[in-house]
Amino acid sequence: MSLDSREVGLNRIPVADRPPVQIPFFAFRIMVGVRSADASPWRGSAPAWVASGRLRTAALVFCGRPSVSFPLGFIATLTGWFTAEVGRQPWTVFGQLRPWTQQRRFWTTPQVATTLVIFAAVYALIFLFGAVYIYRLLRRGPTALPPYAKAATNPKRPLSIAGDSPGVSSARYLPEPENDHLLTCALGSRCCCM
Amino acid sequence: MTLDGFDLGVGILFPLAPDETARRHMLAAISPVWDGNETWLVIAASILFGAFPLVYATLLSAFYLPLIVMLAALILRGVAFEFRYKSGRLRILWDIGFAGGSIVAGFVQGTAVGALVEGLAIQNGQYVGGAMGWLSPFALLLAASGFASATHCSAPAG
Repeated sequence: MSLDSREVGLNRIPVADRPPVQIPFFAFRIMVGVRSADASPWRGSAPAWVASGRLRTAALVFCGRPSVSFPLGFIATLTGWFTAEVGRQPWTVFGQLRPWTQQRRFWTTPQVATTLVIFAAVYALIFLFGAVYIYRLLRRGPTALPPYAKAATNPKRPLSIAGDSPGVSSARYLPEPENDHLLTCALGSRCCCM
Repeated sequence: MTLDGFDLGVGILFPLAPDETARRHMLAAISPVWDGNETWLVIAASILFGAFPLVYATLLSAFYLPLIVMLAALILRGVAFEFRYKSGRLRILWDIGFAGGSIVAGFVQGTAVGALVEGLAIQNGQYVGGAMGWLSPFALLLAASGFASATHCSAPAG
């Protein structure tokens, strides 16, 4: 270990080996900014409002906003990914493999463009409907689930607990006396009041 | 394909179900196993990548388009499996996704096996067959027989 080694900046790297800078620059700042907004002081102060009896304010801080702010975590994940993937260019495997030399004989531009369109279409469909579904769940707020037989749910599939799902129908819910009366939010942690 | 055939077959037969109750029975029948079956696909790809990189490289070059289409179909299938129960008016959309994803996945797996049996165009250890080299009458025939066996495997469930 040495205390006086040189910190190599981007300007010491040959121009041909530099990544496009704009995308990682903004993606990284969006990622950090999203996280900072999420942990902002006004949100952190909610427990104090609870303590001072201002439950309504605390409820708004914790429950009012997630219905619109829930995609932030996803945005942070994506922009972090952009930062890593674009920042690594122009290497596919650093020091070993350039993106333009790999498999050029097979992966023609039309092929890659086709698969890009396929992925874009599938993800657009899934995330559009997923976002609408989460938004509706958050707007509806937590509801008391009918009691269900634990054996009838599947821990690998979180969606199976939020109501009907393959193999988990309301017909298999337990009878009323065994009801725990847990007030359970379908999405769990974030909305826990109201 | 052998392992996944049962629940792919259920997906292919899915549009033939007479009513919602039958559809729910079909999905309940495969719900404990279908995601496990698809895990084999991931394991097979990982083993090829780790142990037989040459095979992995050749297969991905030869089947690049069909494999990506199959991945998209499997994504659509898995999502539709969960989403159809949460949707109201648009449930038909997810049913189409589930059946369509199963059909496409079965088709790609069948043609891939057919193309492998027939042999891939390889020179100097590299695939030279082009983007559509996997498509041949024999491969299509095998895909059709794959459909037949998949639906046969799952017929009791339907």
